[in-house]
Parts: sequence; C-alpha cells; structure tokens
Amino acid sequence: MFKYFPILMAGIIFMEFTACSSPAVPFSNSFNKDSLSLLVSDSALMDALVEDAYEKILPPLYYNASSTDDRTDNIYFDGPNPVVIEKFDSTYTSEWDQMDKIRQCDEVERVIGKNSSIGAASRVYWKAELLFLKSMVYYYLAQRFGGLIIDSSATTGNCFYPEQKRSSLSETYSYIITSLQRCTVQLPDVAATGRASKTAALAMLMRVALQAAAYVPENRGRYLDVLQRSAVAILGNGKYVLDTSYSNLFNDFDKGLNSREIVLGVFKRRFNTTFQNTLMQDLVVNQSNEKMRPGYGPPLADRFDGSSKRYPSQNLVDAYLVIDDDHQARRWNETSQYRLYRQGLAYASAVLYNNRDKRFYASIVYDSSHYFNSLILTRDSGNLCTSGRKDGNLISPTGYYVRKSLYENRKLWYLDGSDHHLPVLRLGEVYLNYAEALLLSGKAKEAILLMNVTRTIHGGLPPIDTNIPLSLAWDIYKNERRVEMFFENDRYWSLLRWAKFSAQTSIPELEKPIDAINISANGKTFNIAVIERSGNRERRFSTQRFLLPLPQQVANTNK
Amino acid sequence: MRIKDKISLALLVIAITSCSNSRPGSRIDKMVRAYARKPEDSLKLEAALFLKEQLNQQCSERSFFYNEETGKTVAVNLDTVNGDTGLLDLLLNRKLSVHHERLPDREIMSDTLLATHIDAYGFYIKTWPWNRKADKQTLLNYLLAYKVYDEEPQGWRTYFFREEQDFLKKVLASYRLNLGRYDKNPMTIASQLMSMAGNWYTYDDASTGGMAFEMMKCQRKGDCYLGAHIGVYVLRSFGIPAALDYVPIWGSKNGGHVEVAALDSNGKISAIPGHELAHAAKVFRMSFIPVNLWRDSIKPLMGRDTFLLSNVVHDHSLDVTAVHTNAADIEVILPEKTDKKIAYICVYNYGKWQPVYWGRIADSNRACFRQMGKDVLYYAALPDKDGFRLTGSPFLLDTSGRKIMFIPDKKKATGMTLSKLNTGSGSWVKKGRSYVLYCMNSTGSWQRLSDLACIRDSILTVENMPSKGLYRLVEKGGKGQLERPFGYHANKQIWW
Repeated sequence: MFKYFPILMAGIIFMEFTACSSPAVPFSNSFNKDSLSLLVSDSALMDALVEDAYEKILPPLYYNASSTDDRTDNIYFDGPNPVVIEKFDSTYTSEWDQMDKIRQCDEVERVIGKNSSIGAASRVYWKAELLFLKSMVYYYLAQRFGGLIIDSSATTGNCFYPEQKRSSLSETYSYIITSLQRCTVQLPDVAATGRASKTAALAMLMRVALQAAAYVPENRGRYLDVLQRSAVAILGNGKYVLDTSYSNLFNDFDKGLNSREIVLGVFKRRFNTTFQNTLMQDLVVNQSNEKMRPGYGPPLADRFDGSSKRYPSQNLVDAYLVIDDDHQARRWNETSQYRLYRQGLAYASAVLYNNRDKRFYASIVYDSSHYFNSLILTRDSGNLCTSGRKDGNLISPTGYYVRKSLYENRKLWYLDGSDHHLPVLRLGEVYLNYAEALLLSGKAKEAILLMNVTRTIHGGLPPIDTNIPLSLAWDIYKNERRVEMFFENDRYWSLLRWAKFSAQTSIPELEKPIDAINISANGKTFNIAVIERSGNRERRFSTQRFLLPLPQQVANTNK
Repeated sequence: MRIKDKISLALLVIAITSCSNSRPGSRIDKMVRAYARKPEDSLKLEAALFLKEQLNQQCSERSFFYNEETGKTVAVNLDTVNGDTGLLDLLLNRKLSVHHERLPDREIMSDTLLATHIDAYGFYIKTWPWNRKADKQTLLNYLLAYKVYDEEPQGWRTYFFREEQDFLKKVLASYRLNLGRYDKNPMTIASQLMSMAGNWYTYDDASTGGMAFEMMKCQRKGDCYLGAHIGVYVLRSFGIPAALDYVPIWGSKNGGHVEVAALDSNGKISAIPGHELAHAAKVFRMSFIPVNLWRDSIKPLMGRDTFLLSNVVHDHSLDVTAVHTNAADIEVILPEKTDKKIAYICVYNYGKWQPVYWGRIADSNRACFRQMGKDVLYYAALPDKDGFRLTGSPFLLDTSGRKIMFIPDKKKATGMTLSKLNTGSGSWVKKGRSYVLYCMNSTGSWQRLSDLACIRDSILTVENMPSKGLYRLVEKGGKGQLERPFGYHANKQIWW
C-alpha cells in the first residue's frame, strides 16, 4: 500500500497546480477575451454603424408613415390634418428634408471604404444595405414629390434644388429600381431580423415598380415585368410563408419577431423605447372610471392613459366582409341576418359584428368587444362612447378604436418602456402586389388565386370564384387590399396609384366625409352618419395630390 | 477494486471537484497568483486583489424559497416567473415562502461571477477614455463593485452588458473613427443610459425595498430605490463608474428619494443632469467599500443611547450633500450644558421632526453639523435612550448659510392669502373644507392661531395674524401628516 503513496501525493500535487489554475481558461462570461475581441472588432463596429443607419431611416420614414392612413377614408384623425383639405403649407418640410439620412449612409460608406481590415464579403454586404436604405429614402421622396436630384449629396446638398437639376420621375424611378436590383444580387439570402435581405430588396422592388407603373405609364410594361419576376423569385424560394394568425403579425412583439411572413420590419426594443415613442400612444384612449361621465358604463377594468387620435372609420369597417349563413362572404348589410334584423328589437352588435373577416377582430375595437382587460361599449352611455368623459373631452367619434399593432398585455403609460414593431415589408403585400400586376395585365384568374391566399389564410373567408369578370375582380381586389393592409402605409398610395392607372382626376374615397356608427344606449338601434367635426366635410382631392408641391418656404429658401 | 484503480479514481474525483465552481470564491487566491505572473494582467490583478479583500469583509442578504409545509428549500427559476402576479401565484400554488439570511460574500460569490467582474474591469479601463481620469478608489468602489449595498451578488453586469451592446458599439465606433456622434463626456452617455434604465422597469410608488437582481428581473417594477439600483447596474455594466445617492428625508418636502450619480469629465462622481438631489437637507452616497464611520467614530460616543440614523449605522454611507445642493456647516449653541457627546439635527417630515444627521458636541454645549443643505428648516436634538429630545428652537438655514430664527411679531399683525397645504400638486385648499392655522412659538410647539372655513377653491384668507412667523395650515379631520411649514412674504406662502 505504502508503495503507492508517492504516486498518490504526486498526483494530488499535479492536480492542484494544473486543474483550472490559469484564469486564462475562458469562463462563460461576456467579458472574456474572445467575446470582447469580437464585440469591439472593426467589423462589429462597422456593422453597428450600418445598424444605426437603419434606426435613423426606417422608423421615421416607414414606421411613423403608417399614419398616411390618416389621409384616407380608413381613419378619422382627430387633429390638424391639412393634407386631406389640401392646405399645402409648411407641413411638408419635415417630409421633404431627408438629406441627413442620405448623408449618414454616405458617411458610413466612406468609413467602410477606408477600413482595409474588413473582408470583401462584409464590405459588399454593408454597401448593399446602405444602397437599400438610400433607395428607401429616395422612394419615400419620389412617392411624395416626384423626380429627384439623385446625386444630391455629392452636388447640391438637397434632392430638389435647383429645380433644373431634378431628374424626371421616369429617371428617378429607374434609378431606384436599378439600385434595388443591385441589392437583390449583393444582399445575403437571409438577414438578421430588421436587416435587409435579398427578399427584402425584391419585395421593395415590387412596391416601387408597381407605383412607378402607375406614374410612368410609358415604362409600365417594363416595371410590371420587374415586379412579376421579383414575385416569382420570392414565392419560388419558399423562405417566407403567410402567418396563419393575422393578429400575431402585429399585436405581439415576440410573435412578430419570429414571424415567417415579415420580410423586413421595424422592431423597437423596450430598452430604447417608451410608449410615447410608439404608434400605440396615439391609439389608446384616455378614459378611466374616475374620468367617466356619471351613468355611463360598464365600469372599466383598466385605466387607459393613452392619447388616442386615430379612429377607424365606419367606411373601413364596412370593408370587412361577413360570412353569411350560406358560407358566402358579403357586406354586413347584404347578409341574411341583416335582412331579418329590425331596429329596436334585437341587439345591433350581433348583426353588425358577428362572423366577420378574422382581420376585423385583429384590427378593430368595437361595441361589446374586449379592449385590454375591459368589456367596452362605444354605444350611447357606453364607457368608451364619444361623450363618455365627464370633463367634456370627446373620445372616439367613429364608434371604433384601432386594435391592429396594439399590444394589450401591458398597460400603456407614456413614460414606461415598451417594445413595439411594425412590418415594413411582408409576404401578404407581395401576394397583393403580384395580384395587382396580373390584374393590370388582364389575368383575372391568376390574380384571384393570389388574392385568395391572404383572403382565406388571414381573413378566414371563402375563396373567390376564379371565373368572375375582370372588373369585379378589381373591386374585390381593392377591398381585399384595404383590409389586409390597413394601418400599414398603403391605402393612400394605392388610391393614388389606382386613380393613375384608370386616369381618374378625382378619388371619391379621399373626398367623401368619414362616417361613424351611432348605437343607442340599449344597443338595439343604430344609424350611420357623417362625423360633424371640423374638416370632415371639407375633405377634397385635386390632381396636385398625385405629387405634392414642395413647401413654399423651402422653395423660397432655395431660390 | 485494486489499489491502483482506487488511486486513479481518487485523483479523478480531486480533479473534478477542483475544477468545479460549486465552492464559491474558492479560486480568488489562484486568480491572484496567476494574474501576478503576467504583467499584461496587471488590471486583473488589481481587481482580483480588491475583490479578495472585499469578499472577506462584506456580507449580503440572500433570499431563498422554502416550502411552508416541509420547511425544505425549493429551487425556483425566476426567469420562468411572469411578473409580480406570476410570483404571487407561484407562492400560493406551491405553498412557498421567502426567507432571508445574511451570508458572507465569500460563501455566495461564484467563481464565474468573480471572473466576469474582473474581466469587465480590465475592458472598461482599457476601452473608455473617461476612466483614465478617475482615481483608483473611485474605479474600484463604483465600477468594479459587484453590488450596490447588501443585495445578493448576481449576474446584472452580464445581463445589462448584453442589453447595451448595440449602443456600446455605436459609441465606440464614433470614438474610434472620430465621427463625433457621441460626446466624450461620460455624463452625456450616462444620461442616455439612464433613459434606457428607466425604460427597463415600470415605476410603481409601492416601495419594493432591497432585492437581488433575479427578483428585479422577474418583477421589473418598483420605486426610485429599485430604479436607482437598475441605473447603477446599467451604468457600471457599460463601464461608467456610478453610485447610488440618496436623500433619507428631504427636509424641504416630505419623504425621501434615491438617484444615480456618475463619473463626470473631471473624474469625479457627480450628479447626472436631470438627476440632481437639489434642496435636500442631507444626501448620502452608498459606498461599496465600508466606510466604518459608525463603528470607529460614532459608536464610542453613544454611551447607553441608541443611535437613530440607521443609514449611518450600516457603515456604507458617505456624505455627498455638497455634490448635489448648496450646503453649509451649522453650529448650534445648546440651551443647556450636556454630557452627551453627539447631537442630532432634525428636519420636518410627515408632520413631525425627525433626525437626519448628527454632529459632535464640543464644550458640552456646542454642536456642529457638517455640510447641511441650505434653505431648509432645522431643529437640534439630543439622544435620549431609544429616542431623541428636541432642544432650543427651530431655525432656517437660509440660502446665504445664516441661521434665521422665527419670532412671531404679534404687534405687527398681517393678513394672509393661503392656497396650499404643501408643495404637492394636489394640496390646494378646497371649498367646503375646514382648516386650522398654526404658528410655531418660542418653545418650538405649534400654537393654534385660527380656525378657517374655505369658501372658495384654492383661496383662504385670514386677517390679523402675527407676522414673521413659521406657520402651518392643517386640514381638520385629516391625518395632519402632509402639511408643511411655511413663512409668509410678499403675499406668498414660502415653503420649507
């Protein structure tokens, strides 16, 4: 036994001196040498600069822009809304002046160009991302104001002056399309959440090409061809699929983040975002039991501290179809249930809101529905009806609130942090853009097959018969696009585009006053009437809206 | 089994256990030895030596769950618990209670956590230019420090470092590439990080008290005390030395407050713009390193009296009043000689005088209180067994640092228009309610001057009151706690 003692001692001493004796052995912490050298490498820092460019460009231009629905018959906006009454004044200065974003992209590109330690693949990738972002800025401007000075950052310092240097709209769109086509080659197939991929470039290309096809008719065929080839590329690779739950796309951050439908989105993290910096601030009502007018109810289970300004119109609600007893989709006032309804005898909410398109429930808060933890009534004497506050401040004039893009799992308080997201490009739009291109080419049957995808999967509606005439297919398509893309910065541009395609000089949807629903206190009678509030009857449209005039003060400054 | 095999097995066991992290703090000596061997690890050595010293003298409050029926400890992964409602459900459903015990840090600090702090320290010093201006003590006490006071050391540094990574890279890129996007002043960065810290949790008035980080992460809700802990963690994780500064009692209003202070461009810990603790009677800073003021300097002077300032007794508080607000020393001549060695200085809080600080008594009747906030009412007091006894008269330390006594002038009567009970937004006098106006007399008691009925919201007029007094307007039928003392000058209530 003793003969083994020296071996044992030697072993113990060896173990004591070798086992984990060096702290150089990496611990599982974020501060070990390897993690840190990756974190602060030139490559990581360049990537951070590119990421920063996304944050400077996408939220203001494509996240906040969901409010372009304010200009349409989708939303009643309770506040100054000069576009709808065509008061073109200094309001547009903020939309016009986007040069800081172009300059930021250029600066990052220069920094990347100077740094020789970065590999060629990363360099190409980042440059493509910056080009993609610049294209997003240029499209934002061209969509509103028309032709641009494309090389503005190198020459004039702005995109519009001197006017003689402005490219034509055709040249501008061609430039943007060519840039995005380059991106489709240089961007990676798959990108991190919130960053551009090949598919994002293709989807954006489709959006731009469709708008360009309307505004530059001489190139329509070419643009529609670009669009269709892009659509085939996206749908052919199968990387993206439609979410079976429409509400998951918009009403839950984590589900949005993991969605296989969202191609590119703005994902704001709670660490950097307060409620007041999200779209939710202007959607959530300001009402509580303490603020409620006596006799109104029922009592709320929540205290709502938002500052709602945007309310879905009755016009929009009408667009969400109802599945009738014969399993056909109809407008609510064409259903068998409605034909049997007699005012004063039965609850209106059933005939108004039962069996609707699933997107209705994901998008709209209505009388007798749940909102956060409360049962809400928008009818007369209801807890969220227009005159429901005892201080006299009016709340929803339409009888509805926006649910789409609202997270109802946490109370909104403007200073509290919150995640939020909004898809910028998603597969649903890809299907619809493709369908529109096919309708423009007279291919109704193929178009219907595509619009049936969003209609059945997101809407839960029966598919449309593929044998209907083209004109009817167009009508159904426009309605489908309206409900699918509500509050996603789409309808205003679609209405302008459709008017351009059909050479209309008026757009009734932009001129007609917005309607509200009024339901009696007992919930058994209702009527639909124009909202009698400032500006609603002054809505107008003239052809100068197709491309907005530059703000006069900007023009004066640059003379 | 043959002896040879047994020896092999024994060696294997030794090898496995010596590599395990299960023996907390076991490797600090080995770390010190290893870092000492490599000159390039000098910062790590510095950090390890400091932590070794602190592990041996610091204790923390550890919470654990136990089953009320069996009395056995139960492991709970708080990452799987959804907020305070989820926690409550868990406690009720599984019949669990939370128990706290105080343990030496050397017994609870894991080696992985130690290594994280040591590695992070080296990174911060090398990466951020502002840390080169700070002295070593500041860096160790407010950057390397693995906790604020006595909360259980947990993984906040890694957690927030990950949360902050995008911002960190942007700041670093701007510095390295001279893009000028971020100010080099750490205060500017600290301000941005404080906004992020504010977003991370939801403010809730209900006091949460001290808690370890895993519990904070589970609840993400709390008052300023919790918020300041989060702020300190967020700043230190990023690499900015930061401290928790607190006002136990304002003196100029009811209650107290907790804030975060951070390294400034001169290498000192200062108030972050927008986070100052101005107009406080006393501001303390939580020092990670024990200051031992109580143990070494106060305890020997107390005799049989209890020292009432609990925040001084724990020996981690530094006086930083002058960092946040205008301050001056106060000397009070006591009305009678005393054998007490220390005196308290009190401020008015929730309807009564409360000690906020202490001072030595010299010559049996001269009490000196260092660095007291200006424009605050004070009242000296002496220790009295388990309590205190007010002595002399209350006075105002005015903005020039002079002591102003209140001597009501009954000969010179004045009318007053009063509107509020204190400085709060909900403290307006209300129509239909009744109030009593008091004035402080020469013995320091509130003397009833007049009963008043309010007939118009926000306005209460009263005539023929003694001028130059210290007044207090109290609502009848109320608790009498919220009403603050005031003076009356130029037709306005002046609040103290």
